[in-house]
Amino acid sequence: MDEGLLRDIAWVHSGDKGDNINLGVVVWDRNDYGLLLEEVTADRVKEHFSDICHGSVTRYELPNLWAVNLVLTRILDGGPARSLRLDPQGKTLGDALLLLPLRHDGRSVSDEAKKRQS
Amino acid sequence: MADERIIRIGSGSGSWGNDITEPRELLSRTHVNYLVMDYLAELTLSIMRRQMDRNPEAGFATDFLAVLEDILPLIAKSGTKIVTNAGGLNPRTCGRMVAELVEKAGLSSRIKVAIVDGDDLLPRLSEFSSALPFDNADDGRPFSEVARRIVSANAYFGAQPIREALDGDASIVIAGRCVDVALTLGPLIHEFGWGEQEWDRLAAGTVAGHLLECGPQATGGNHQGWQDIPGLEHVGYPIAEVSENGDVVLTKASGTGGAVNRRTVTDQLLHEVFDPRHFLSPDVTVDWTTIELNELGDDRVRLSGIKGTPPPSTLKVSMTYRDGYKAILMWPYAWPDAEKKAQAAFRKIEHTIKRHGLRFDETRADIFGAGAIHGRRSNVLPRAAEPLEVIARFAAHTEHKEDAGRLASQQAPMHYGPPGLAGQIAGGKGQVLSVYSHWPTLIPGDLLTPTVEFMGGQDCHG
Repeated sequence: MDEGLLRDIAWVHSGDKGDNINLGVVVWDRNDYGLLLEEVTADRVKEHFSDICHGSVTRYELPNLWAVNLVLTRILDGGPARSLRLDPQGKTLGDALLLLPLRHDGRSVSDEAKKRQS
Repeated sequence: MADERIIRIGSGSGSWGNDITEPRELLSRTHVNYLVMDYLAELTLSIMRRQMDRNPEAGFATDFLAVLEDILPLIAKSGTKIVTNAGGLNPRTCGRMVAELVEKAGLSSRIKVAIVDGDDLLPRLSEFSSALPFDNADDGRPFSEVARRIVSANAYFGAQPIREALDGDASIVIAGRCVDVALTLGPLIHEFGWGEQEWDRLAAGTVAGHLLECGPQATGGNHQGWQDIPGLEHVGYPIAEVSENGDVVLTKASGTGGAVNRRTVTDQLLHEVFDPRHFLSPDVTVDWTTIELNELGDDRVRLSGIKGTPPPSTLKVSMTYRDGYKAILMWPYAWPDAEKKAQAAFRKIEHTIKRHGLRFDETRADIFGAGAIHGRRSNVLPRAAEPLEVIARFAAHTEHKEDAGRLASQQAPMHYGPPGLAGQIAGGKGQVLSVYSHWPTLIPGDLLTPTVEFMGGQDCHG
């Protein structure tokens, strides 16, 4: 836990369409946006969900909203109606992304993030 | 600069099943020119289709009638107009019943009711599908896989038919399937006379519509910073103030809970958005990366700089098809050894499935309360103590309804499995659900013509 989790610097909004979801990831403090771009790459997110995401991960940048938008395909086991998942709409997948470990050993984060860590 | 005219549009519903007293709550606290009510999600029309198969007078969001009965006296006084997609699969019946309510209240000379129809492709599906591919827009699967199992098929109309109904002096507009944002954009085009190629203004109206379509998701509902949101228990529904030049201010009625700030607005802006540079609708393509947010304080956020480009020539079509059956069974167990009891329950149910020869193409066993939702992703957290209670959940999918039913009846017999089954929580039988899956596809826009009709023999100026 030393290096922290995505939860320390960002929050996530989950949306679904068919068998695909989007995860909007937004930093609490604008100063952490560069860190967000380094930490939350499409490859890392694909690895984080590799046991359940059978399609692709695409990342779009929205610096105006201090956000990246991640699109994950084939992740709901057939979509909300067909899925046998506990959470067929994937509303908890945003919570699951908060568990992504940060790699920024010793690098400073914003005051807002420090406040949330304590 | 002269005072610019502002149109205030409030949200009264974000989906079917919202609290029906919310529209009254908003209207009794503040004035809005329009109240927009969204009732349709991707799968709502398949539910409506099943209801309509049993009863030809069903197939629309019946909640809307209760809402309207509640607020008719208020809107008669305030002049607030109502725009909704409550019509679902059956806007005609919904419109007739609404017109009857208006008549009963003695208001039919002042409140005209119009419907927007023509989005239902089902009657012409075989004709269309002989000329069009209708392949799955998400994954490319061919239409032939599902053609004989289609239950509903609706095109998403844009804002123009709603604008037309309002131009014809409608006070209540009831649409079927249209894009959610059209409920807001239609009134803005009507009020400001925005041209069909004023892309930036249409884009601004689209963003305003997106902020209203999920109700209080723009005011602090379903937000991960929820512990910073005051009064979440009485969260207010959002209100957009839009000016002719396309400036948007999002706010809410004073005295309500929730918050309107950069975070809550951003949350809803990102809701179900995929490629943010190309947010597609029948009226305009919007570039989400051009939106500038400014917090004005007092639960007001200004959105400006929004850019649009021409829309695609195709309309999105949402179909649903019959896709077998799901059975879901649950068994709650407590300490000691709650997890082991759940595993024993799964062994028993799998034995039962074999003995009965039940046919399933997929099964799934989860121990809710022992890390089932986050799975291996929670390994970074400190290891939790033995759970004090869990729910063993077993789910299965089959093409055979009788097999789903026989599995569901195995919930109560688990009493003779592991000890201490708190079975009353789940009930005696498991759940059996008919599955109607979603089939997204496209149709050339010029093949369909929306129709606007005024109800109850009212004059049509449209």
